Amino acid sequence: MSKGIQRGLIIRALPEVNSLIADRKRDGTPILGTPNSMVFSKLLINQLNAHSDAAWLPHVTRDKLEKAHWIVNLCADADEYGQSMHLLAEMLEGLDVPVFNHPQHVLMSRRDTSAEILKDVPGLIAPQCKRFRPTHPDDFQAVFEQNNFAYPVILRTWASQTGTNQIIIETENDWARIHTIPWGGQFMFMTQWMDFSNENGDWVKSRIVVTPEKVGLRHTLIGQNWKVHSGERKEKQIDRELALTMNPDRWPHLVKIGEEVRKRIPLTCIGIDVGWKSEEETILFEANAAMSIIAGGMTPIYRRLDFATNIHRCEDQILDALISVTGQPFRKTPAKLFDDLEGAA
Amino acid sequence: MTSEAKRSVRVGLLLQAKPEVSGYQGTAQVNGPLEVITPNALPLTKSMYHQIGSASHRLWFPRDETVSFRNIGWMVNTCADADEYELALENFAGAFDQIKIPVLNHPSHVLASRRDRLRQILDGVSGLIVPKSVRFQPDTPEAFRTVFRTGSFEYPVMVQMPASSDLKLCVMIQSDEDWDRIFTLPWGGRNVYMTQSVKHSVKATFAVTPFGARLGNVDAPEGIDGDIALTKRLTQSKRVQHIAAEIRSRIPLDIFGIELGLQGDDQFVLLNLSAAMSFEMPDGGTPSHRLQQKKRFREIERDIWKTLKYVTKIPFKVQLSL
Repeated sequence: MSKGIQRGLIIRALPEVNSLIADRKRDGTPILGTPNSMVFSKLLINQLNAHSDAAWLPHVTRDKLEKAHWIVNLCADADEYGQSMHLLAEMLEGLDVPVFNHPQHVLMSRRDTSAEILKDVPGLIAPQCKRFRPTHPDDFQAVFEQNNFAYPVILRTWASQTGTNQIIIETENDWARIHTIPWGGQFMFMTQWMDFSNENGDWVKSRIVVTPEKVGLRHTLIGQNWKVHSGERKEKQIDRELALTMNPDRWPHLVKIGEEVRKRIPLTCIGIDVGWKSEEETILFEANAAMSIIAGGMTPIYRRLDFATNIHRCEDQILDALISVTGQPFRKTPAKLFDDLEGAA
Repeated sequence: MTSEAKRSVRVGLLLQAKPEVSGYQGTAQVNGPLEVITPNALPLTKSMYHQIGSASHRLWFPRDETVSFRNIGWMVNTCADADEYELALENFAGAFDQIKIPVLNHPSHVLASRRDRLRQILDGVSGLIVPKSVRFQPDTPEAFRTVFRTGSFEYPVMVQMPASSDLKLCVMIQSDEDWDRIFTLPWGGRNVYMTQSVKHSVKATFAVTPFGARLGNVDAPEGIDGDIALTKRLTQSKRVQHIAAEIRSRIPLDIFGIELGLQGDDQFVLLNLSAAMSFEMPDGGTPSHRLQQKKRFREIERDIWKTLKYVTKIPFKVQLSL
């Protein structure tokens, strides 16, 4: 155990919308986790576990919070953990304990709330987003008209971060598409779709990682249409993406945006997904703590070492944030490993 | 156990799968880790699972590697709902189609217990009305009315999401005016059931094993006094035993539950049949009422232990939870 690290508290909660997520071992044995949670690397989580007690909401007492020298809140989505975050925020009122990802700030990252908070960030276009609970198919068009949306709009169920249960309504003839997703009894988000293709016809999407002292870039993807994803990509395309990601001189505008987002939604660690047409026009997709930042899944085999290096940078950035927020001397990523990866890359 | 008996004990295989509809659920313990709940799994007690687990290997679906086991003497299939574990049950049923060892709740029998298959399989069981049920995947709201019409349903009908006993995921359509109620269900892209609602006065659940049907809960409108009188009648009902035996002869599950609605004096409506039905003692009631209940639920637990021993031939140590 490292010396000098005081005892903290790690907060988890059961998901309120989705079920538990299940990865599996090769023999099928499930490895369960909570969806929409902050994901740390093994190095970080092992250190955190060694120096903390675990608590599941709602079974957290004020006494427990008071005794903790620091708190790490792993609940990272305002819909998935809405009730839990309200409860925790209330319990933390008046307490002088450092909290990594304060519940109040998690609540600010809800799709519609964050779009409103970030709507006039210079250089960032935050498309209008409305949250509603339909009880009839007509409610969809009513929300569309009452809020002056224009076609196309994106509809998705709450607490979904991937493309699951997401549809696009391109014209007034498309409303029947709502019956392909399970919206009954659920909250929905309607978001204004925006063209983010650049002058070369590329659709460029980046994930910005913002912590109290740094703004980094986790990845950039270049696609041929608006549904840019990290599936199979050609080597030439990967070269272009990495050239962009690994050269901060090419994204100073994203740093400025990140710095401004940090002021308005002061989460300790926030991921911001954006599409960018040019340095002047960046479109917000979402900004929250639930994004995959450290996980290495879906990285291509080609130039994987470069991806690994960049993910290590993000890990280092998050560890710095953890050290600065909690005031604890957590052990940093071994420099040798980091240097080796960079050298090999 | 004698050394000869020990030698004859053979290891088993526990069939387990990821819930395909509901996913894994959990409960947070006050001072402990997360307790994971596998919805619609065979509802055995902790002690039963512990003892079975100690005597068996596990076979999961899905899995990424081919596995082989030798000298397997028996299997216990924990996938207890035909909707929740449809792919897993089809896979297991195919794999163990020709196998000659005893399988507790064989996957193909669980598949047969799907709500929409019961009416045909149980046709002609005397004293039992099996309501018509259709499973379909609606792509428009109109699809519901179409199924209602083409299936010759009559009002009222129940529309229900599969693999769920949650009342929030079930609506009753009483008349032409009620169809908007379907919009409270998350049916887009998913299967739903439409089931004919059949009038009945009271309802009761029974645990069915090779040792007969045992009364579980009784839901009577008269309240507790009526409940006690009814309990006696239902416990002694030869008709219920006949129905349970007849169901077992057609769907030979080893452990399952049925929910029956009483119509008139001796006619029953099959409201639910599921290997995932759990028998937990409800809260409330007078002390004497609770004593009676406890006795009934202990008997159910004993029957389940007996069934486990009967199928596996393992001399499990009976530990009652009540």
